[in-house]
Amino acid sequence: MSDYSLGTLEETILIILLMQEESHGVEIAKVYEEHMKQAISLPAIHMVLKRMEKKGLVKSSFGEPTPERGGKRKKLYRATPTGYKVAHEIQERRTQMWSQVPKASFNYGIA
Amino acid sequence: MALPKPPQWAVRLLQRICPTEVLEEVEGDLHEAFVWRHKTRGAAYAKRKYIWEVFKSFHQVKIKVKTQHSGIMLLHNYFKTGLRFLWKTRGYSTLNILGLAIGIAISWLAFVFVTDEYSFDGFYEKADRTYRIKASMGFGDKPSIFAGSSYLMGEELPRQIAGIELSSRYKSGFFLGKIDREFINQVTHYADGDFFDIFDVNFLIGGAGTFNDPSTVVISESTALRYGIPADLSSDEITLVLDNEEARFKVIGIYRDFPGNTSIRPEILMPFSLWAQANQRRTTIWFDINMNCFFTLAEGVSVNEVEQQMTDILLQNDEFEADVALGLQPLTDIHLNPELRTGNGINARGDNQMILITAIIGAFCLLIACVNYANFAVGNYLVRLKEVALRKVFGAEKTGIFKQFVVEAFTSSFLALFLSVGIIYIIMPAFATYANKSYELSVIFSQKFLLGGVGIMLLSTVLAGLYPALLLSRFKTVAGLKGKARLGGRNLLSKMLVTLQFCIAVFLLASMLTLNKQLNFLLNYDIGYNGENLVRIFRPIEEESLKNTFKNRLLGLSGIQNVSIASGFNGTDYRTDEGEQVIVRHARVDTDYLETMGMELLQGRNFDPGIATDFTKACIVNEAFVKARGMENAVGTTINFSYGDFSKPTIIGVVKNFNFESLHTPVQPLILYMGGYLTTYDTHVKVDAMNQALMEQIEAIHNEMFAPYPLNYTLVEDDIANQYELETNIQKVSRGGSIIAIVLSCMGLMGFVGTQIRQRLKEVSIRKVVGARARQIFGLYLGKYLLLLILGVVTGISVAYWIMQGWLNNYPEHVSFGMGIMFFSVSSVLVVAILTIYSQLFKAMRLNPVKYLKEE
Repeated sequence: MSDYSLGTLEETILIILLMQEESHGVEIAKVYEEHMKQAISLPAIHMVLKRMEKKGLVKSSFGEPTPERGGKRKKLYRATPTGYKVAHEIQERRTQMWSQVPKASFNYGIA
Repeated sequence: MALPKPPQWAVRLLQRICPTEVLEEVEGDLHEAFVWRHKTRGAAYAKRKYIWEVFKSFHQVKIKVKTQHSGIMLLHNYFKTGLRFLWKTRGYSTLNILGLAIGIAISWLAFVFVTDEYSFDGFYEKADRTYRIKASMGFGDKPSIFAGSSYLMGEELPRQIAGIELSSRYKSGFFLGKIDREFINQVTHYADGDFFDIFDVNFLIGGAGTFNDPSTVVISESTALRYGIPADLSSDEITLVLDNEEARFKVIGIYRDFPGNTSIRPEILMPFSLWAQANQRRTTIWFDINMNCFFTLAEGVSVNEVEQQMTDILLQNDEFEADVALGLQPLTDIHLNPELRTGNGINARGDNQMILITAIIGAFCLLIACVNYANFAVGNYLVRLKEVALRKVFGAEKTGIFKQFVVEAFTSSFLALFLSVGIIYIIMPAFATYANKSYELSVIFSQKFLLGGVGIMLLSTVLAGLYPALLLSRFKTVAGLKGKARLGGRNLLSKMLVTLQFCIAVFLLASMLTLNKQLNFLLNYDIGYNGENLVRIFRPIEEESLKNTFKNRLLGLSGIQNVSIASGFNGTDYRTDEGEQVIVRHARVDTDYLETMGMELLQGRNFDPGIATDFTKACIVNEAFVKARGMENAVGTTINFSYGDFSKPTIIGVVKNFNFESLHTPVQPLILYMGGYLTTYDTHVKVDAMNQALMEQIEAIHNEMFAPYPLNYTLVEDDIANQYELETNIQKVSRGGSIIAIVLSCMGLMGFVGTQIRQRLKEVSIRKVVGARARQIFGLYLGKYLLLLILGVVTGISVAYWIMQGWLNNYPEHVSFGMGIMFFSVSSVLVVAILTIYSQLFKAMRLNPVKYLKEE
């Protein structure tokens, strides 16, 4: 895990890829907006995917051209086993840390 | 239903900015998103979003440039090799870039100065249609031209000529301004109502209205501050004093101060009706040139036609014996035209020599520096040719090599530009003083001048880079690889450039020396009177008794030798018995005048207070008068001269010519006399030695007698020096400029000779091995360059001779160009050049031949 430092956006998109098994730019954007309740621009996604591909967390392949893409092929991304491991590890550590947050505290008004 | 399409220009833009391997993905994704948004949120939203995302994709450019744009990649490489080469030859590079920096700095400064001067008065909205009246008057072949008009011209011409849209007379007036209880000298200006329209006067409060009421004035912002007039005009009275009477004026408007680059900068503007009241007599004379008058012509009106109409109207109303014509001088011409006098309220430079000289020096320095660079770059051809040949082997084209060397020149120029800011910082204060400007370093950072600096840098890139780039890009690849490269005959241009540099250096040096000689001549010229320890007090005095009291009280002080009260030098004409018209200057003096001024009487006698007729019927004339009239025995002759009730005096003496005006003009015929009614303005006081205590005593007497007027005095010595201030300043600027030019030329020669010698060290070594001595080697190589130098120097001196002779002829009294200057400038440049060559040859003469022969 220590070999990979992931930004928040990278992490989110990696999880989306794991959710979808296989996905491309526009679909990622749609899923992102659906879950995060906020818009994201495609160039930002492209940048993040490129970076993660370089780190070996995702891999890509070309799909079939479709008319709604102006006759261009889709570039499909899926997570690599390393990608899965890194994402999983992050989630586990988070959960572990969260379990140590007191269940009740007056500070947060959750008594 | 056909699918909607994103805007085509955005698609094309996207295709340009994305590297090919990601283009398909990005374009497809953006397209798909567009279709989707089009369906869900509408066409406009989808389009906006598409364009936005195309712009956000600009981060791809960096990748594209790095990996796919060969032009830019190469450019990157050119910079890299260029900088490496600069570093490799850092000694000469420093010299070279420093030279370029000096060249850029000097020409940048010259650019700032010249554009600033040429921008004068051009910014007024109606500047292109605005003129001032000038007049020409011919008594023979050479008409005299002067700027100015009369009150009546300003009144009648606009009324009668339809083409004149706006008109305003303009004249300065001299008052005392009263601030609290203090009095200060205050220059004011009279103007007409149209003035505010012609010169876009920007009122902060109030306005001029019709500007007819002689009790009202408008003042500038800074003047308001000085006189304590509040910005809201809640108190609006200022007090001015003329003829011992205080008068109150109502301020009806405050205007923004006029900018620095105009010849018109009034502090207090008064309606012309005020002047007319006080000068009734002068308002009805047609040809009484004593003020300026500005006309703005209607659009599309021909200047020549208006000039003709003006002259016609003048001739209908007045009779002249001479050829008289009226004309118009463009407003923008006033500042730099030396032919027409300024004055009467216009503070123009009225000279263009300084500007011309600055421009020439700027251009020359830049040229020399660029030539240095070019020669240096060419001098290194042997080293670079292998590199060039290799590039060509790998597919570089001529244009590519060309670009490479232009880029290198650009790199050097760019570095030099930064360095030049530092140089300007050093020389700016001195230059500002001599150019009469209040420049600071920040001036060059204003948009206009910064652009100018960058422009100069680009120009120097082209000038410096073109020749080496052309030469090296055209070289044969194979020859370069074999190392057989010899530029041979083509080196001729390099030689010519070195020659040109020395031509320029000698030209500048010789011109500077001539300037120097002429100025020293002017300063030491026998002006016919002695300005040493002479104080001139400016004080108009009318009554005879007051004059005597003032004089006697001053003489009562210890340390005062002589006092004389005189008028200024006026001009008039009279007719001889034969009807010939004689134009003379005349002045009213007193018995002590000649002695106080230290003038020499050549014939006859001085005025004698004991002889009554000396006050009414006697005059002293100057040599020029005697010469002009062709008199054999001047003394005793009665002349027809008359002025007021003083008429037909007899000449009692002839005084040696003295320069009562500038040395720029020859001494005019002059008549001195004691009678008449000319107001006397100047009290000359000859003291033993100038000191503060004495001046305080003089001031006390003056203030006691003439309060509230403050004492207004100058030292005559200073006045004389001030007359040549312009020449002194030109001299200093040109001295600095020519020294820099010579230094630059020598730097160039050093680089040129240095690189050549370095490449011939093997030859020198062989010569030494077979027994050549240091002296012989020196002689051998010196001979190669000496011819070039002599050629350049001779050309330079001839051009200098030709130009400076023309300049000298502007002065009635001048020095000759002379052998001295020729010899000195030629020999000093040659000596410096030979020393430079020697310094470079020194290494070659001292070298150990083994070191250079053991290779191979």
